[in-house]
Amino acid sequence: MWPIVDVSELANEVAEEIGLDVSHVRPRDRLFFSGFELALWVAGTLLSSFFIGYLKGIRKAGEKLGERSVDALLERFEQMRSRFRNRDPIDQKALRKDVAALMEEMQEAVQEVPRLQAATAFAEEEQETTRTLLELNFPADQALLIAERTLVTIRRRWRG
Amino acid sequence: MTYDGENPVRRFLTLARALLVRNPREAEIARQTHEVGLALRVGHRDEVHALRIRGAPWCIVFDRGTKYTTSELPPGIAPADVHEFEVDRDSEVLLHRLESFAERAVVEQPELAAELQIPRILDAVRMYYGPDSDSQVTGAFLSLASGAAGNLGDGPPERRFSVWVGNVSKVMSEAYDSLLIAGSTVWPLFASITYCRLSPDPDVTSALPRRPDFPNRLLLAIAQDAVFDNDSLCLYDLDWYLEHPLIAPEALIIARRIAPPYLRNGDATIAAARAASTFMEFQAGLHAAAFKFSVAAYSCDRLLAFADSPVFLSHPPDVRELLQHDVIHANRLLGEEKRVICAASLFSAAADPLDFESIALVLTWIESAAEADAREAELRIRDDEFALRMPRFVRDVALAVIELKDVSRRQLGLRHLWEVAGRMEPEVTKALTLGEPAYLLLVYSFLQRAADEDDDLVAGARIAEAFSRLP
Repeated sequence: MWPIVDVSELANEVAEEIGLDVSHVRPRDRLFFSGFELALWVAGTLLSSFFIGYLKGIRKAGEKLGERSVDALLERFEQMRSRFRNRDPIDQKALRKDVAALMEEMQEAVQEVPRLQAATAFAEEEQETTRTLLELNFPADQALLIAERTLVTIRRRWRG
Repeated sequence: MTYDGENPVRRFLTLARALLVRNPREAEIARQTHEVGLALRVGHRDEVHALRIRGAPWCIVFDRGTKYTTSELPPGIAPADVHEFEVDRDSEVLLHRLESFAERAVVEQPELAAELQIPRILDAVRMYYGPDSDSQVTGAFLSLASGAAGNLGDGPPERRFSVWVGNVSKVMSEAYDSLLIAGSTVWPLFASITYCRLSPDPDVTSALPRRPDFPNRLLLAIAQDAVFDNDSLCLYDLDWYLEHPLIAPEALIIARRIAPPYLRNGDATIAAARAASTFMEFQAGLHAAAFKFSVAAYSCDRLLAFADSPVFLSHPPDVRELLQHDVIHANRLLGEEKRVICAASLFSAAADPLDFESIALVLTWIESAAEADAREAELRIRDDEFALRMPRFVRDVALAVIELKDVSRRQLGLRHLWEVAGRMEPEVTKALTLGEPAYLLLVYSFLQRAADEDDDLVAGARIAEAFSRLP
């Protein structure tokens, strides 16, 4: 039996991994004083991307693994990611409220995700998280580094 | 030495770090800007507000909870809405404050004041004030650099130059870490030193023919006959290399490689500072990290300024492309942001050291805040640690205290407190020597209170045993 993954706790860890590099999300002409809320927002977006990648990996290997269809779950996580992405990172008050609500929603969805002890991680997980970081304005080299760093944390919690 | 929030030695060192992390003049201006913001309470409002020092090309914006600096006003702010204010560029408020701490330190703790070189640090800060400050700072800088010229060996000039570069780097790093020189005085030197080190052929680079404007552009040279003659080796400011026609493509490639290692090293220094078990080490770590971010930002600044120069624009497109403008711009912002976060933390510690250093006050606040809204209190404490306003152990203790208040997370909170205690115990002697509050005792008192509330005799015995190990 897998232990339940606490999405908030995991997001806190991922936010710490991203650290002050989070300010890459700011517009070019601004010098940001980034806060934890911003990092938590990026962490939530990354977590939804991880699960999208994970579910895509399962779907690709579906027949072999004998897993049920994950399409519905995949769509749920894609909607969540898009809602994370559509937040205004400047409006911290709204961001705090929206991120908290989305995390709760993700906690429910995560409990339905099949847990596989895959020998190797799905390449889709890395593709999705890196793509998300690039879309959030992280430079390519930083996006790769942060994706690598945060995936270690997420996979450790998810796969045990 | 016992902890006292008004301990003059600690307050002196904290303020000296805030003054020298960039330079005292800028710190005096930052103090005035901070006070204007406080008076207007801009950070506590939901609307958008902008402040600007009269004549400055940039302004500080408080936008629905987010603070940033920009040269372009955000939508919703008209130029007439910007709150402009004057600053006194000759202000000596922080210097006088530092002098009063030094005076008390020398009287109340003469041995410690001497050991920590308090009079010498005060002299170093003083040289940045007054009409002769530029010449005094240059004199002190050259004196330190000359001191690095001893023991260069008997090798050829190229070899001696290389040894000197290593020596001067060490001497200046030590001077900065020991609070004997300000960051902005030495950033350019480190950009040049790193340029030389990254250069595939530093001897060739350093022996480049000098240009007619030589003495004016020679920011860093020690042209003493005893070390180098006037026709050979020298260390120049970064602009000099960038503008030299004989090395145009190479100089761009080398200069753009200066920032990334400083950014990575700064991140590692911050990570170590976060893990410190005392505030003094935490602040020293932020002071060191700020320096690394500053060199990164400085080298990017010089490259971006060069990109607008006629020399750069006269290069063919394939050479101009080597600058990688977007990457340099991104690195510049990141380096400057991280420097400012470190400096702001040092500044706030100097302005009000009791905010976070008195962990008992933090915990009293956390306990009452958690009663009202545990989630909000947790977010606030995570944000304070994230923004480097406190080392990680304070956050961990505070979060554990919030967990203790929640029946479903009480065991987790106890486990977290024991983990923090385990990390702090080996460091307790160091903390006490530095005159820090007895954080570990506070952690044990929380554990004791929980053991009493739970009638947990096993935990009680474990705490008694832990107490017996303390010095």
